[in-house]
Amino acid sequence: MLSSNLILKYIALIAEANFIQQFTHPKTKEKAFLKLLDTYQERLYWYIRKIVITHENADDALQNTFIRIYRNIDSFKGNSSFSTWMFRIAHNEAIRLLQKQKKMHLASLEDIQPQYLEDLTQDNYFDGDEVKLKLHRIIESKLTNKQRMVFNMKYFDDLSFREMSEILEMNENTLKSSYYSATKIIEEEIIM
Amino acid sequence: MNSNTENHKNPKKRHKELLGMDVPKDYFKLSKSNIMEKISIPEKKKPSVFYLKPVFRYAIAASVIVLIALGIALKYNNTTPDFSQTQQIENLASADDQDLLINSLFISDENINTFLDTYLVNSVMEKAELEEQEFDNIFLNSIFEKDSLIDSYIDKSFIDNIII
Repeated sequence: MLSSNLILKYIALIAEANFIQQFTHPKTKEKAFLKLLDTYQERLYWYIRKIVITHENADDALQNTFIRIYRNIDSFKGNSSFSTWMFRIAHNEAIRLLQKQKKMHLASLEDIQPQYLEDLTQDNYFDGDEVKLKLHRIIESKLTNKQRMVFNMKYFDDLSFREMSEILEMNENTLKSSYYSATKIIEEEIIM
Repeated sequence: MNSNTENHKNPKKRHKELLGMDVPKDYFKLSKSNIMEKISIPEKKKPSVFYLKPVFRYAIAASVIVLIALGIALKYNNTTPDFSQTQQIENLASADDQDLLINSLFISDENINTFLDTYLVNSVMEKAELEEQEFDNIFLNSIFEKDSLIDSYIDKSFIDNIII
């Protein structure tokens, strides 16, 4: 007898296949896209926001992400799940935006060097007290770029290690190791 | 620290409570409208740059090949002797000594050396032919002349022939 997890996964796969079919059909494309927006808009927004920091940048990148999803649905080959494909587009759009603003020189995860705290405190939609700022400081200064990405994706965006592996194109075990290191560091620093 | 499924049910709350990150009121509703508006605008096709098209590249490649072939052909043509001009030089160089100066006026500067060389060769050859004729005459005449006379006659011509 199949476990409940497997059944759920199977149902999710069927639902996804059905959705993609609707999305690629001209008559049902717009309706399917609206449904997509309802389901993933907020999730993708927060994912982007933690990379680009400010609300304005996140808004730009989010719009570009969905426009790209809408126009490039034919390029989805089914090598990964549809959601991880979208997250990968969102990731690339966030990186692209930062690159355009010349806040980083290279487009790889390891080279992300945003002006984190400066952008955060100057953002009109940051409403953080000292405790929250402390958490940000720890994330920004005590974690490596990889640890920061993985921690955010796991803790705040609730992505699985498998999904993260597909989005970031990194080994799952490496990501697990990064995550556990990150949580340890944050716990120690917060207690201090 | 445990992440839970509430994360993606209410990520806005979570991000605000833990990270202090907030969004404007009704942001997601407005954002959705903006996105729907933008996708309805047809995508502008970027004008193709001619010099990036494959046709242009093939044309450039073909032109380069033609230029190289032309260069080789022209070089080959320059090195092959111009027979008509050579013939003209020979004719002029073969003329009488008196006409040498006048004939040289018909020769271009780059061919003047050839003209002079041809003239000299012709002169030498002419002289050699004459000497040869004399040589033949010596033997013919020797049938009717004495040996002593032949000796003196031979010496000068024989030596001259050797030098030439």
